[in-house]
Amino acid sequence: MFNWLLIFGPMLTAGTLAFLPAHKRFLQLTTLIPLALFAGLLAHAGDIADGKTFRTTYQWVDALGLELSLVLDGLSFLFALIITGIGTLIVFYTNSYFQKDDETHRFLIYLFIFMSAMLGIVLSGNFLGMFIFWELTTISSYLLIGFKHDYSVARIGARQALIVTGGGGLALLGGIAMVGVMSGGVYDFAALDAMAGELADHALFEAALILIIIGAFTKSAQFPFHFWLPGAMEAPTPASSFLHSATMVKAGVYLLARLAHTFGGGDIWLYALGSIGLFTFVYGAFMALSAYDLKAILAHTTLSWLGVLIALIGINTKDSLKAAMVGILAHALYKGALFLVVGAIDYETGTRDIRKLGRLAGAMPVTAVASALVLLSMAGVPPMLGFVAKETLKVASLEHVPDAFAAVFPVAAVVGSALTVAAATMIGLEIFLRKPQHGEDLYAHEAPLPMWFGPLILGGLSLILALFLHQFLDPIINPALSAVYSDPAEVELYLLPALDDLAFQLSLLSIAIGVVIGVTNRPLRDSLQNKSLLDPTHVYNKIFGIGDDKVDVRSLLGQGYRFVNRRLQDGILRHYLNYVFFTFVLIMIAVIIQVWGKLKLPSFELDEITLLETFIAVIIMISAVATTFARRRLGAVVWAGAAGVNIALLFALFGAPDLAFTQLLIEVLTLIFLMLAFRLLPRFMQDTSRFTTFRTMRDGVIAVMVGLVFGLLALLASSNREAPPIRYWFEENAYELGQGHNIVNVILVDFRGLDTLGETTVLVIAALGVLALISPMPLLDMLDKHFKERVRQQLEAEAALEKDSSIISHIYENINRVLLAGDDFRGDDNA
Amino acid sequence: MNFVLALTVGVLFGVSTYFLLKRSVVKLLLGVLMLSYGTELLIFMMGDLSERNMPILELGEEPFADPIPQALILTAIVIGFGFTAFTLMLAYRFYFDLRTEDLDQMVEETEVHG
Repeated sequence: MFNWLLIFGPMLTAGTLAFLPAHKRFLQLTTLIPLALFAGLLAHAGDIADGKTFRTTYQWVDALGLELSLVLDGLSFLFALIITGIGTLIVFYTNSYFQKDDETHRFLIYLFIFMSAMLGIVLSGNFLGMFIFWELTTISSYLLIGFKHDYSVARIGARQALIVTGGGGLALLGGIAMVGVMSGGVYDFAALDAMAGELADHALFEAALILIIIGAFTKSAQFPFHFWLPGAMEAPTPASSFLHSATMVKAGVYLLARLAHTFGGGDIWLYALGSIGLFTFVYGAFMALSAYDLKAILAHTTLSWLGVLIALIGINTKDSLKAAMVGILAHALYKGALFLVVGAIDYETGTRDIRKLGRLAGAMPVTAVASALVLLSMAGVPPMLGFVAKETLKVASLEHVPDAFAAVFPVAAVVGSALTVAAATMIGLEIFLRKPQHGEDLYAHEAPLPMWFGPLILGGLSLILALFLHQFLDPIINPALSAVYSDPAEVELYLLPALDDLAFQLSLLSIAIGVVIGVTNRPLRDSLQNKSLLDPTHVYNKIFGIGDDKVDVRSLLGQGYRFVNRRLQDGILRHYLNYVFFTFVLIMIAVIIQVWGKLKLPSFELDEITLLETFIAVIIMISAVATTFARRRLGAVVWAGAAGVNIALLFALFGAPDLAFTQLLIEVLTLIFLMLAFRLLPRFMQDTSRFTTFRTMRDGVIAVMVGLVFGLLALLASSNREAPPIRYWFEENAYELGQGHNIVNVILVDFRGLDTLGETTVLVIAALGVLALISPMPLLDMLDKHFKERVRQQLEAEAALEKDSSIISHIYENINRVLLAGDDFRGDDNA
Repeated sequence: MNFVLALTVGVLFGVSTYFLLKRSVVKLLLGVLMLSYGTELLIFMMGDLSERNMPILELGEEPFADPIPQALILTAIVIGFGFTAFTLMLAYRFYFDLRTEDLDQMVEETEVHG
């Protein structure tokens, strides 16, 4: 089943669901979709284990080198299995998690969109194509975190996640663009890998790498971008389990693993990934011990484990990559299950506060068993999968580690593992065995089947995969490792090491320390009191504000908005025009300067224009300038008319009779309209404010600049004609094809007939607009009780303005009266 | 070449800009009018102006003027007219509703009405 349904199947499901009613039957049936995909994937397990790679490509946008390619290799296979496998359990779980079918319905639509996006990330063979799915996960994650959008915290959490991961997405896009520049438009992962050497020598390499790393770090919640992940815990628990522990947050890990062979190996890669990853590993695990909310605890342990995965990829040895691959799978299984358990506990008891929970083992035995399995795996106790992961981690921290990390890595591995063990111990003890720290035992009973089924399956898998690791684990992990390492690679996994093995001793050490801390966790938690150390949230708040409904004016962003609103967008369109004109002039000048050398400068031969034509042009200029000095409207209109008529004359002289006629006709019409309307319009405003002179000067300067630019443009364009004119084709074919002698007419009605249709449409729209501006007013106002009063005011105002007592004004007043006689708004009061 | 015409184009655009930046709604109208004049001439100049015979085949007067800018300008004139007419009625409606020709008043006025 290797085809596009692998990516788009869930998307189609979401689309179909959107049109189906929120009925339990449909919703429950959707569990089959990811299950089918999972089964389809498993059918390829044999081929993948043999090192085969499946590939199919669809050209999307050729010009951008953007293709959608579906590639299934070992690494994609591992991730796709996790996504569809855990996805199946999540969808099953979701069906009993929500109280209302409506909520399940909406949630599943988002979830399936996300599933498609996530599968798209891991199955894309093209960097650019992958980015689209990357962004889609950000958006669907936003929708899922903000699912309970009635609550302000959910909105804040969703926005935080969107801003952080969306910002990281922008960085990633920048990085991808640079990669495209470096590779000459190649975005295919395999092709990029083939040119790894060239890329590393390119000047942009470091910048691109840093941007990509930022993108991966934001997505995978690495310090200092980690704070969105605890905030994202406002999402319904199935989403937290699926997105924020098992799949989406691993997208960054996936991307780095995918690029490890192409971009890894340099210092930036080693130091950025190694140091940030290890720091986040220890930091996250420590912060988990201070939190009260179970989901916050899990979120912190998640970002901690993501940290170690990233560090392992940064170290980039065969052992470390192997540890990363095992770690990805082990973590997805146990952490996904733990979130589901927390959801079930929340569902049964109504709280997630670790201080109020306790002694639930009796009330919820199946959940307790499932939890025990996954907690043991989390703590890395043999014979669980978590142990294999921790063990390979210890091995990787000891073998072939670059000098810079040779001392730090083992220490960090032990400390981080110990703290993880502590968190696991604490969760198990506080929820299931010990008495609650505060209050009495809570009343609870066993969760419904879909809520313990998932954790039990995942817990069982954590055990079985480890017990039969050669049969089940090797065929999944080794191809993934080969894909990352770009070389057939195998590192032996083992379940029972020798006691004198150093890695094993370190594992035992960390378990011992962890259990001690876990058992005595209460004093530590009480002293930390749910406080977050090194929390960059306040930096975020300073930039983006705290509130969720309005922009916080105290934040940097709010200040920026305020500046833009007050200074740049004051609501007065003329001011915007100032900026527009000013920018236009600047850009045009820049362009003209740029091409100046290549331009032919116009020669000073004046013979192309006759004296008469020059004279007319001068009259046009004089009339145009005179309009600006006219004190009265009538004067201005007369001058404008003079300019228009002379333009018509100019057209006539230059062999354009149609233009001359049309221009003249339109000129007359415009003048009549203006005269008619002026009766209803105010006279020129006398601008009396004290800034008048300054304003006139300023407007004048801008006007002169715009005029100069256009004049220069006209001059340069008309004297730099390079391409052969296209007129000849029209001239030769006008009669042949258009059956007309007047070429201009043939062009308009025939060759460019569609254009003319468009023009006619514009006119009709303008006419409708005019109609809308005049006629609905009386119609609507008929219903208005104050209509008569309004008309009276209008006529009074007109009378007051009626001081143009020239002969022309009398004439047009009469025309006006005739033309508008039937019009309602003249009313019965015939003034 | 056509310095005079280029200058005319410049002047028309300059005057248009000047009017568009004014507070008066009536001057805005004049600005729109001038803008269409300027545009017409600008397009006109993009053609070859050295021939002055009419581009009508029947007359047989070759070589004749470039017909393509003429066709484009014809469209421009008509659209310019539509635009002017619309602006005119907009100005009228503006004045009728808000009792002012000062475009700057529009900000506060619309809030009161709105």
